[in-house]
Order: sequence, then structure tokens, then C-alpha cells
Amino acid sequence: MRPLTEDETKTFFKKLSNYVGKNISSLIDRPDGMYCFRLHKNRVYYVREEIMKLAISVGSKNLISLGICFGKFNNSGKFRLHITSLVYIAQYSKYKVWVKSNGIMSFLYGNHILKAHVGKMSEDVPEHMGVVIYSLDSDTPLGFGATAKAATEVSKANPNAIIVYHQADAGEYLRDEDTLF
Amino acid sequence: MSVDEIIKKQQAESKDIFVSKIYPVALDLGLLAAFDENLLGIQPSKSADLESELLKNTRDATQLLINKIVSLPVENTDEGIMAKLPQPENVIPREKPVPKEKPLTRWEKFAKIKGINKKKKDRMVYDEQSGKVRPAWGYKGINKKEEEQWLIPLPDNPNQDPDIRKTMAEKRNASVAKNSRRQKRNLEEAAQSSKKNTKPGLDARATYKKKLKQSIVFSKTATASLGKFDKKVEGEPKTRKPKRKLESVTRSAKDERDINKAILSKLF
Repeated sequence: MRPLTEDETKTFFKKLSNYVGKNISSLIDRPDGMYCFRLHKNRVYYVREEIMKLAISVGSKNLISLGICFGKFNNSGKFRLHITSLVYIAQYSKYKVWVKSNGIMSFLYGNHILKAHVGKMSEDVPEHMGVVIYSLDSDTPLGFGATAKAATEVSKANPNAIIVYHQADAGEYLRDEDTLF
Repeated sequence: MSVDEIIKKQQAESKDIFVSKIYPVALDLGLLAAFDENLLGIQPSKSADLESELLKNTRDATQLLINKIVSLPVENTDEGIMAKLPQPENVIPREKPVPKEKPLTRWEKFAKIKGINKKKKDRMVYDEQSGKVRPAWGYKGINKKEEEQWLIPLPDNPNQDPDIRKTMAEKRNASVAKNSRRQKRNLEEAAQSSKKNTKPGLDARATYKKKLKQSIVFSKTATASLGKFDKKVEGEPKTRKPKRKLESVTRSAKDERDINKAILSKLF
């Protein structure tokens, strides 16, 4: 476990800003306590300072997880967000897409979101932008993805066209249970 | 044309062998040189005039030199009559700088302190046993005398190699090898000490050693694996990568917040 280097922090923030924009600052500066990011086995954890200090005394081989895993750095140094970060991403997300009930299960099994499934979406979403997927009925976050088309072009697209590329969904809690945290 | 006329004409054409100068021309017969210190006289306006004036002066000085040479004692040789030149009076500076003294070898330094004089050894040595003169070393050398005996008594040492001739030859060759090693070392030291870049506070050998180590480290970068699988030499310096410097894990969240804020402000 160690703090992130400057380069790592940059790549991490760049990826995160795709979904939450400038709201990263509210993750860094929280009124309810001091939180920090820690890297452990290539994974970035968002953790309260007291818990981080307790975890220092655990050997790196014995430490499995701490706080909330935001994602991991892959071998080429890119950052990949995990579904576990959805709690915070959904809270601060800029752009949202609501999925109708007929598309929920399809998305939760790892498929892209088609136009037919989209109930509504934020108006000004540009192309290839990170969005959080919500269910239209219960307004609960299901996962996140990247838009295939800008919001303005969606109305022109045919019903089978992909609107949001799948990146992570809540189904991964079951499918990738052993590698997720 | 009468004889007188011919003589007169001849005299008019030929130049005077007696040259008079206000200030006598200094001659150095040993060097065959004449030094004319007289003033040139009139300042010739044209360069052609100057040229002819200089030529005339040179001829006069040469004439005086020749006059003096003719008056020197002569010697009859196979190649003709030669004048005996005296020793040169002037010293001409040498063209090349004075050669530097060779650095002394270790033995020479030691011999100088101890006052040992080098004695030239004869290659041929008288062998009392056979009554012959034999070379001190090399082919049929006298230094192989003991090995060449038809019978050699074995010493009582149990660890001794049974082939006593072989051990004797090895011993002899080892001393030759040792000497050549020392010669090599001397050459290296001499080469080092002559160089300007000998490090202050380090002697020639230490400097050489240091350079050698550096070049080993450099040579390691020649392979893709940076020398990981190369054969190791005894006493080889370790090639260490610079260690990655990371922040302390106990860095407080407050500091981290400020750092992250700074990074964030750079990004947006």
C-alpha cells in the first residue's frame, strides 16, 4: 500500500473526470472527514484516513482490500474503473442515461444499451463521454458506460443502434466477484 | 682582339672578389653562415630594386664567406679537396622539444633508493660440470639444468606431485609469467602517470582500477538484458538501478488533499 505518484494521480483523475467532471474536488475535500487514495496491488482504494492508518500495520501480502476500490491500473499504465466506484460516480455524475425496464436485464448481463432501451438521457451529452446508467422505474444506478452518439443524434438513430457502450454494470458483483475488490 | 682586351672584358664581367664593408661581416664557418649587420643604405622605392639590392648584399656576404673558406686548411680526400671547418660558434635551437624522461619502473625506483647498479648479464654462461659455455636461458638453457638430470631424488613430502620434472618446469614458467605480469603493470602505470587525468589523491594503479570498473559497468549496457546473464568477473562492481522514490505510506490525508488539489487545478 502506498500513495499514488503524481503521474498515477493524473491518469486516475483524467479517467474519473470523464464521468464526474470537476466534482473530483468534492471527493478530495469532504466535510465529513479526511479521505485519501491508496494504491495496493495496482488497485486504487478510496479510504478514510483512520482506516488507512490501521491498514498500515497489515503486511502487503496479507492485506486483501480496504475502503472502496475505484479501479485498477493495467500493465500498460492505463486506469480502468470498477463497478465498485459506482457509489461515488453516481453521486457526482454529470451525464446520465435512464434505461427502461426491458433493457435493464440486458445491460446487467453486460450488453450495450440500444436506442430501444433508452428511456431518457441528459440533454447535452457529447459523443464518447462517460455516463451513469439508471433504471427508469426506481432511479437506482446500475452501472456506467460511454456514449456512442451525442444526445442530439440519438433521435435520428434507428431503434437497434447502440447508444451507450457498456463498461461496468452491477452484474459484475456476481460475475467477477473474485477479482473485483 | 688582343689579349689585353680579352682580359679587360673578362674583368669587367666578373665581379670583385674583394668586398669592403663599413662594418665587418660576422662569419660562422662551422655553420657556413655570414651575418651582415650593415645598413642597407638607400631605401629602394620599387620592390624590384629592393630585390636586386638584397641579392647584391647576399653575393658580397657569400663572397666573404668563400674567401674565408678558401683560406682554411685543406684535406685531400677521395671526393676531392675539402676544407676543414671549425666547430660552430653559434648554437642553433633544437627543432623538437627535449624528450621527457621515462617514468622509472618499480624496480628502478627501488634500485635507486638501495643504490643497486644494473649489471649487464652475459647470455652465455660457463657450465662447470660439462665444461661448456651454455646460454643462461632459452633453448638448451642452463636454467633447465636440474630438470634435465637423468635421476632426481624425490623429496620426503607426501603431498608432492610424483612428476617432479613437471613441477620444476611449472615453477620456472611461473616466475617468467610473474615477470611478464609485472612488466605489463609497469607499462600500464607508466601510461597512466603520463596522462594528465590521473585523479588527485589516487595513484596510477588506483586510477586505472577505477576506470576499469567504470568500463565494466558501461559494457554491461551493451546487451538487451543489461548484463543480467553475462558471465560475472571476480570482484565485479554491482550495477544498481536508481531506486524509485515513493511517498511515505503514512502521508497524512491533509497533505494529500493539498497535493491532489494542485494536480486537479493543473488538469482543468
